[in-house]
Amino acid sequence: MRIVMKFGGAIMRDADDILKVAEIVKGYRSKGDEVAVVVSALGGTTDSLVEIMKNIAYAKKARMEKMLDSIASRHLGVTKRIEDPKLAEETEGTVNRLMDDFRNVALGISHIGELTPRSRDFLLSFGERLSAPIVTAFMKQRGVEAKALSGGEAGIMTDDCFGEAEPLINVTNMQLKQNLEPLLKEGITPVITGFIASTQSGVTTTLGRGGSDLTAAVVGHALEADELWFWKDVPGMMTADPLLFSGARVIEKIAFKEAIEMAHFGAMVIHPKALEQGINNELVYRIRNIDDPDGRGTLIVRADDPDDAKKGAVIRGISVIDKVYLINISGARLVGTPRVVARVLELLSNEEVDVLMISQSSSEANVSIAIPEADSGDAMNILELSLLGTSLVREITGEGNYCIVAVVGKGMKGTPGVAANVFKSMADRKINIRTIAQGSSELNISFMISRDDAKVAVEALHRDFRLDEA
Amino acid sequence: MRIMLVGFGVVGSNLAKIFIDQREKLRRGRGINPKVVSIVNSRGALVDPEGINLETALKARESAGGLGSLKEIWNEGAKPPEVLDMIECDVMVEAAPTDLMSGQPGLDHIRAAMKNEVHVVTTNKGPLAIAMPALLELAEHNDVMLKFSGTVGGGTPMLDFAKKCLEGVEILSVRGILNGTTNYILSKMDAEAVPLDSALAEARELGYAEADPTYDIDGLDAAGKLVIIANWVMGRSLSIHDIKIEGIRKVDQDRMKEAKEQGKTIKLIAKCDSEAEVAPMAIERMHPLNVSHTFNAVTFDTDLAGEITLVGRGAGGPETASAVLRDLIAIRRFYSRRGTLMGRMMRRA
Repeated sequence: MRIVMKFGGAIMRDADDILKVAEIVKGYRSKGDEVAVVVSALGGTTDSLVEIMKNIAYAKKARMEKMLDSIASRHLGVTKRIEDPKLAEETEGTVNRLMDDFRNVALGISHIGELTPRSRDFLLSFGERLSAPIVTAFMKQRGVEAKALSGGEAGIMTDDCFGEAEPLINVTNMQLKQNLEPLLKEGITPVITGFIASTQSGVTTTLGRGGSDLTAAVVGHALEADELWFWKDVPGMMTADPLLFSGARVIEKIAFKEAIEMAHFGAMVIHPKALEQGINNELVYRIRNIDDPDGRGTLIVRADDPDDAKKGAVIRGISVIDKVYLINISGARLVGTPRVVARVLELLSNEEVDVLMISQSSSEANVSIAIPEADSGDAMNILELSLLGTSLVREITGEGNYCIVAVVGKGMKGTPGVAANVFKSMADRKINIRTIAQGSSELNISFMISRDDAKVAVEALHRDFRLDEA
Repeated sequence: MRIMLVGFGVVGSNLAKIFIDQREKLRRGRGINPKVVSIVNSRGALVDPEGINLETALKARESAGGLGSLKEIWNEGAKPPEVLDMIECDVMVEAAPTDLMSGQPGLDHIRAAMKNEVHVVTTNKGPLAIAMPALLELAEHNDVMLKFSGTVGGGTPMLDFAKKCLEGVEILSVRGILNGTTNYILSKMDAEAVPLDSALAEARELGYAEADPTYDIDGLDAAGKLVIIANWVMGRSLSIHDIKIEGIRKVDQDRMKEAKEQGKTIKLIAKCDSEAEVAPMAIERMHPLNVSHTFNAVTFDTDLAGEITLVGRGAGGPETASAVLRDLIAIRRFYSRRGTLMGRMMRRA
């Protein structure tokens, strides 16, 4: 079997974690599987890099130096655990060289005091560029032939939208095949930096949020792997957040579209961008638990998978977006024209406020918009400044302490009465629903309730839709 | 239009001749004033930003010293990527020798051109047979045109026909005779009941087959063309490795006779429907695909317009050169359209 495995930062915090990673890869390699690995930066490194960049822009050199030292010592600390002296020396050399590079570029930028998106991507890439050789060394020590490659070296080529670069997928596929197939044939496991890639001229780019997941998906497709495994510190995708409901269960199988929907509503186990890649392909994704390597985890399959026993299930899972703020805008001017709504959305988008949900009654005199509570101050401020006192709206009000509950499942498509049952569940527990939305894809019904009711609501839905049955 | 000519073989030299013979017509009628700023072959490159004198280059090509005899503008060992760094040009005409298994060196030439924002006209099937989806993506990314009329049916514009004239209908399948050499051989075997070897020998004598006819006989040439047609007009993402290929080596008189008795004949058919393959197949004698000699033919089966068959000459030097000309005109048009777009924006401002 050919498997692409992705190991995220959350499960690679120290030398013990990386040893676990090496053991897992070794296990499958010795069973005769071909394995390609995609790694993130060691847990927390990327956050430190972002922090450093904040200081670069303000030219706070002393603080920057201190943080650089801490990154260096952390990675060198991990390399100390490599027993083979030659391998240890080699890896230490690589880490030191990379840190020197980083320091030089960072100092250069701090002299100029201007951080362009291009230099930002270059600096951000160091997290993964440091982790890949270290993971590779740990594997080699366990007797696994491995080779560290940056995303660009592996063949991932993107456009030049720095910070949010988009792979040129056909070129990337071709190059990945060209570069990685020979390694796999020789029994070498490529260890590829997630998240980073390069333009056609070799300039480093990053793939944005969830970039490592995307790297793994792209590599999996290009190599026509049998399965793509995301190793996590959770047992898999859950029917509900176990913190909200202790009876939540691991979902054994879920369709790509449902998984994307769950991810959008907060159950961000795999980034939607990586899931999108899978929708039309044969490749199967699997989420596995690093603490239970033999557990089955969650399998993500195509919608028409014939072996999906629970294909007919109406609902697969329940997600909750916590801490939501509800804005209500009313006024007669909303009737008959989308102009006011367009203006509202434009204002929010300019403030970079993420709109989670919109609902408008068909009388059109009222629009409700849900946003993250953290952004409520900025959002209300700009809306009041721009709209109040004009003839466009009569009133703008906002209330916090809400959450959005989404029930997700492709089985609800064409099944009448799902919404009725959802709302009956709520009514039976005397939970008041503030606003409701159902996408016309019929993959989810989402509604907003008070945060205080979240626990009761999730538990009720879980019971009433029999999600606890395997 | 500043042109870089990569490969100065049959196609390249025919193109140069057209540029010389039709200079006035091209300039007045087509708005193309070709200035060949570089001619690259496997040994090196002629480079002259002022434009190379094509008569001199053609003469040098025939001489013992080759292009290298034009010492003043000759760069020994220079490859297209280096030449692109030396001069500015608008279009690369890639007519280097074809390698259908690796796509090289054409693949590198084309990628280098695009990276430098130079349009590409190629007559070389190799790069497209290997990496057509990737090359089209790179063209879009770099905002340049990639034209390849000369790769398939140089004399019979089947690519443009299917793409432009059949717009709006869905092409369900494509079947065609895409290789003139094998068609000559099979037609001969059918008409005169001669064995394959002697038909091949005759084709060679007449110049229809090359000294090494492997690509033709083993179906690779047809497969390369099929990749291009399937990707371009049917929106597939194929490479030559995805195609089931069987050449004509095993076709003998027994098989020919058997087909004849059923009112059929054996042709080397390249087809793409649910899967893509090249193989000798029996077709009805009355079917319009049944063309003789070195002719090419292709049938498009469409959802609304039924079957449409296009018959024409396969490609020789002049035919392919004419296809290149077609592509150059398309690129010129691209520029002039851009011009008007610019004009509109100016007026609006």
